[in-house]
Amino acid sequence: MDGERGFDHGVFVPLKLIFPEADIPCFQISLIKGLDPAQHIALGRALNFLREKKVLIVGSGMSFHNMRALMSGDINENRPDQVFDDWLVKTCCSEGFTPDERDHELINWSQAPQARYCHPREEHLLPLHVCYGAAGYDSPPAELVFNKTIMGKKVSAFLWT
Amino acid sequence: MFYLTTLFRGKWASPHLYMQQNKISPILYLPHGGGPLPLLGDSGHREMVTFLQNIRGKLGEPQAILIISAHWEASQPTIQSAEHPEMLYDYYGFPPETYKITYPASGHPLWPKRLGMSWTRLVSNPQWMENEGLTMVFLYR
Repeated sequence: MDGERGFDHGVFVPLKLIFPEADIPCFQISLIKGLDPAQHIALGRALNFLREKKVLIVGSGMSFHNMRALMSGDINENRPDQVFDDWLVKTCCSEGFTPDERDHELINWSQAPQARYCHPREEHLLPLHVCYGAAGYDSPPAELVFNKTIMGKKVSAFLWT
Repeated sequence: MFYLTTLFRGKWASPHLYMQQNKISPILYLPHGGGPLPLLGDSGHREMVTFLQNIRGKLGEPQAILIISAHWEASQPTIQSAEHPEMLYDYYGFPPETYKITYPASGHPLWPKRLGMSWTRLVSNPQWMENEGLTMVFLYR
């Protein structure tokens, strides 16, 4: 536990937009150094019971996070952001995976097309692994609730219900 | 200890009560954009801001919000337990007003303690972990 930690911008920026009244108590759990995807799915699974307790779990990151590409505004004709986004949407939202297959895909996310281009370092992707884990083993696929551009790059958001 | 007992008896020892509870809370993975830019009217974040401003209706009526941010890594999964967390302006080179943004939500009075205690218990009791908390094996290997 950390009694000194404050809200970083990954917390207060989106929460100001979603819950501007700030009247719901909030707390954070950290990512785990080493950024092991399987560990983060396991962390999520350990949090699954909170869904029954009316605790809203939010993973705050960005499904595309190559800062140099974002800041330069360059348009790469091969659209690596779109290619990776297509893979991610299929992985999270398709009915066509068994739970083990979906686990396998997300644990091996760095093998996906353009994965390392889109996430030179994966700290913005791994909150998704926590969310996916928290949805529970054999959860229904996620709903794609945002699939547009941020600073010119394709970005998605997912909701598990 | 009281929290522990209620928490785990509630979940694993009383499946009927467990099932009777209300609908489960949804889970959201969202983009938070670049630094404070979404709050500054930046055109590159317009679609994202519209999305966040309109997603509230799909999120039920949460009693608490647990958020996992890309901007906090620790050697063990660490729970924020401040009663009134301050802002951490972890960005650089933005206008002065962006260092005065506040989000005055309180921390949760119970959940951090409950989770912290249950995790400590899981780590210190391998047998129990084996029976009830398989996922924790991965966390503390």
